[in-house]
Amino acid sequence: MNLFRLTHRAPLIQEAQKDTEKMLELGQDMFRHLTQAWTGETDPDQLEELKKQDKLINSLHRGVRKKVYEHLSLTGNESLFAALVLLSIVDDSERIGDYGKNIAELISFNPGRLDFGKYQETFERVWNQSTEMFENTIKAIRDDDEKSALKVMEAYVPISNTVDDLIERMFKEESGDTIKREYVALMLLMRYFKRVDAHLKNIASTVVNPFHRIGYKAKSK
Amino acid sequence: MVVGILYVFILSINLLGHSFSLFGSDFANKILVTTSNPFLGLFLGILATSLIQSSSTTTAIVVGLVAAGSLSLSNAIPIIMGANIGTTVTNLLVSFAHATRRAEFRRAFSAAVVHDIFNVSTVAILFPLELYFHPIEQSAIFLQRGFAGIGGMNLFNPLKYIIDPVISIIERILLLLPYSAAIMAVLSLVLLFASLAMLVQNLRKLIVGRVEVIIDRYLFGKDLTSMLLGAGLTAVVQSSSVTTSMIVPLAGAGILTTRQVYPFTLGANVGTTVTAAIAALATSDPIAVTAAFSHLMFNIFGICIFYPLKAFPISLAEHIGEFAGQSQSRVFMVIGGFVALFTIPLLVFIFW
Repeated sequence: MNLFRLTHRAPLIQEAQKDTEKMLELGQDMFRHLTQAWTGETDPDQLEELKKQDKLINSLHRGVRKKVYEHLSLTGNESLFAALVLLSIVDDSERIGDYGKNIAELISFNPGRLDFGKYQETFERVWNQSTEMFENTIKAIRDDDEKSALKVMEAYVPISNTVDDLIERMFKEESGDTIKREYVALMLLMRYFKRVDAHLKNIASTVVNPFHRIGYKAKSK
Repeated sequence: MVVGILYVFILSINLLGHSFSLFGSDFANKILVTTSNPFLGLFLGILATSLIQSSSTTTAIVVGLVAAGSLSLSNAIPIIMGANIGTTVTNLLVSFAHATRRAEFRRAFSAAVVHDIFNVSTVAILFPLELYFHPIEQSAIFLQRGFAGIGGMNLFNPLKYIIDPVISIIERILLLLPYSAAIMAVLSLVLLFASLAMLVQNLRKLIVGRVEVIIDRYLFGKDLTSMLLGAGLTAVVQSSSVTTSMIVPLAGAGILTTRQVYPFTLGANVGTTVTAAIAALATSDPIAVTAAFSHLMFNIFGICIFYPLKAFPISLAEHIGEFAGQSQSRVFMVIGGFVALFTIPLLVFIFW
């Protein structure tokens, strides 16, 4: 992505690139605020603020699509790869914003500190790993950093397996007539995290993968 | 390179005028008689421009003929009006590329046909007015006199020192051949077509990528800035076909509405008159310059009428687009477009 900054060409694509980075930063900011929510420190106004951030992400999404289409329409296929990659990234970023909003809504249904009991440690581990994935994804996109991108892609599978194992375990251990509402929230949260991490993995893959393999595993050389 | 191509363009205009003067007064009179019928002149302008897809080329040729005395100013004006209509073929062709998807085609076709509607409507009003009252001719003469008054006619005078010697050399060579006047005319047309096509291509490559941000900012903004953008971009790229067809895909994608396309299109119509002005100034002939200004005044008057009344061309274009978007009618619109812009003028020209 740094190639755009080295040349004066494709100024609309450069603008779209900046908007894409802003989308990711907004998404990351949403998830930082959500951290406070686990501890019951978030008030309803802050959760409403998160929904507004999602709307801003959506607005940037539409803006990037417009700029990319305009650029390709006006210049033919100049910077075609970069343009199509941006479209892929913003679609994933927009979904991340949606999941952030969904998590905010889930928390608003469960005010106060969320205590996941025996699953708390697993939850915090997945949460911390997802936060790290976010940081590495933004670094990968902003700096065209292949190492950071590969870290993200490699981190996804273990997190995904942890989430699946946790949910399977919860189904086995928590069977009965009633289930604690915190555990219902935990299951949904885990599924949301898995989806967010999948989208981050897709975004990171645009740095290292050829076009047709965006979203897939990096091919070993 | 652009400077070189511009030189060839200016050379070709002067060469064309020179070739027609070699044909002699009989030939010149024949052209005058043929074009003396303003309706024929109008359809000639439509047909010629539809075929070569460049109103700039048609108007440059007209200016060259006026400078040579082979075409009178009053006969030139209907041809110039027709050229404005014929130039919209490119837009329609670009919109047909969107014909595979109904909604997309509806939007693209509306955006393309609004240009036709403006040009045809303007001709419908100004053509009869011009026949009886000559507002375009009179205002163009007024402009030319004012322009001459400030020394504008001498702008390209220095060019004579690098154009005339080359024309003399070409003439000396061609006079050794039979049909030298015809060969010179053909040579000048080839140079004219080639230089204008290369000029447009090169300027487009130079400009469009660099101004995409300006297009993004101002095309969606206020009408005046959109109009100025259309005029400025077209004046630089030297082709309204290029600039107006550039935005048809944006309309097809739904990024621009027909309402937003309209002021840009009006501006592009004004911007394209620069080519004829350059051609006319290169001849230093006052009547040729007046012909060029009449192209400008036709578009200015058109804007004065159909910008306040913009609801008419815009809603008509949207209705036509709705009809065009229906499945069977897409085929008919493609055929209809070609019939209107090629076949009808050709038949009128042949059988009149």
